[in-house]
Amino acid sequence: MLDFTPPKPEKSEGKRKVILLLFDALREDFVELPNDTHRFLALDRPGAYKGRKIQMFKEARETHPEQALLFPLTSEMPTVTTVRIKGMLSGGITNFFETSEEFGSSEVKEDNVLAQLRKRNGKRDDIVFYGDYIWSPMFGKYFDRHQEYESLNVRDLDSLDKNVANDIYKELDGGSKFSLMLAHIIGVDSAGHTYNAQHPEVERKIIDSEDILHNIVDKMDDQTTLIVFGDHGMTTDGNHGGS
Amino acid sequence: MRSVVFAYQKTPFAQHENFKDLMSDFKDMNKSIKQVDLAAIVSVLLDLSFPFSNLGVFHPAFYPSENLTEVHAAFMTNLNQFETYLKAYCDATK
Repeated sequence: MLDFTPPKPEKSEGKRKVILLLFDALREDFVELPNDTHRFLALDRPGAYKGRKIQMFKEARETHPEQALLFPLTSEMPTVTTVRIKGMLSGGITNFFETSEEFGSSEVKEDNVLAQLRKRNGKRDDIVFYGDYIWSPMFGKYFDRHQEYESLNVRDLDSLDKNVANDIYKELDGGSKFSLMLAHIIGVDSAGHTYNAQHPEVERKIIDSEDILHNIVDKMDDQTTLIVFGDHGMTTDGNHGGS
Repeated sequence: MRSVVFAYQKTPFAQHENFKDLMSDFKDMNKSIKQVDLAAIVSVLLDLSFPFSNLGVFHPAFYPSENLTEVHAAFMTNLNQFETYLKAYCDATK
């Protein structure tokens, strides 16, 4: 007998993977924006960045609009990176997060996308992390494969990102065997702290970072969505700035 | 300070065609994404439940299926999760 029940619509399009890359201090004006993207910072304001900007976001939007999304990103205070990371993975707002100590269950208190992924898939090669060591105290227990690096020398703007990039490439060349890759590059932020936002070293790190992004795009597979975002901007003197 | 979020895939975003229409109707929505929304975006991409204390909303352009009924259902789930959280929050802080 023929079955006329329509086929159950396939939920989503197969299993997707995500690379969530935190690009420390990715300020809006470090990025060339297409005309259809809303701009918050006036380009002629004092202290606006004048060096070479990241071109690839605009290029991708213009040449492959169906494959690229670009939005301004706003963040809540405070602009401390650890707080931002916590909020980003839990979807929580800092004030709420702290008051939620009231909740009895720590599982609920700490619920975040990593915990959800672990709950669904169990412990296996699923969550990988490459980046700055500040993530480990918060989320280390969820990482199946990971490498953390400490930036010991503030004048060394290159080692951490180079190591992280190589780890990412190795992971992608090895077949992207993860559901979620978290990564964190800090060269631009470090350059801002060590010098200032207008310094040629900031421009150099912006160019280096864009190279890393290009390589990731080249190496990633068809099931992967790459999300690159900044946690905060950078004031003219190279600090984090308000919201 | 303002930042940006950029997303890229080697295959089209499933909502690309729908999103072109939505763009004109939801101008405010495209003005910016909030950092707090990233957890919800990753949740829909990986087909996970929203974290318990999530206060973010996913942007439909990221939704990995072109079926608008599914997107709608996901928004309802997102709203129900807020409600569950806010109720629990109010009970816990009474």
